[in-house]
Amino acid sequence: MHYFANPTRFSKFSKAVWPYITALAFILLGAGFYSALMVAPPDYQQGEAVRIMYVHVPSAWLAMGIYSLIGALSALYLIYRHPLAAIAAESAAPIGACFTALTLITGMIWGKPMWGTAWVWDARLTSVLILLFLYLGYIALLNSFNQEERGSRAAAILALIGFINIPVIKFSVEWWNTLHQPASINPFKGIHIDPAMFGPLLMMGAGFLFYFISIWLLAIAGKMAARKKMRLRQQQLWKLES
Amino acid sequence: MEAGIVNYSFYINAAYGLVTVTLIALFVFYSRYRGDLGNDEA
Repeated sequence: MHYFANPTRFSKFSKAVWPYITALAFILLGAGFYSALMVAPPDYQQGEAVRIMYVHVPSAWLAMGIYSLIGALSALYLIYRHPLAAIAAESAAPIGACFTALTLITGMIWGKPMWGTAWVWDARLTSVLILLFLYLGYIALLNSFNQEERGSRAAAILALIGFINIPVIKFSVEWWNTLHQPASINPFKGIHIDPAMFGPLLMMGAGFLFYFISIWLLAIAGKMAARKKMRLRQQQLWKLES
Repeated sequence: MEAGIVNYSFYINAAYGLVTVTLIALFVFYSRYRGDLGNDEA
């Protein structure tokens, strides 16, 4: 990991792997959409509506995964003060916010026909809504300082404090009585989902993951270039002043 | 539609439509930084 902490090395590496990651993402997404809509069987209780799971669940995995990634990168930034960790965390935040919004909206679309309501204030739904607010707060805090580094530090601290919400989301369906069902896929308790449905779900999950990595690499490249431009402009101003 | 069989196509189309539009929109938005990939100056 230390090897890629060098911005130039990371930049070269991301340029080399980006086309493969992007191609893999779109192949997996194409196959995932096809198998979710055409191949996977309808559920014996939910009928065809279960197909919403194949977009809702991967979105939720990414929403939580990206926040965990931001938390880990923020800890690295606060400990080592490495700017690349901050850039990587900050670049992931708007993407994570989009996937959290997708999780909530696809969940509402699924909830309406299955539960009879699009929204209830149960622990799972409420904690995911808090996750969206944490993402938005992180982005707002990041952009509310004149000095970029101060914004990065404040946002990194918020990200670490907000990380407590991740286990709350994960275990909310076990700790409290929720309308939302408990997890069907648990590494400790087994997989309670038929392979005919688990296969397309995994394919979609992998597609979403590679899609995220693809646009995250682009976002990091854009942010690095913007910072470089700003630094060059500051240097020019100092030269003019002196 | 037969009695007792609910048509969920509206909900499925809404969910998949929203996800597809979002994925395409995000990809198009971030593609503006393709030129910055591997830029040593960055």
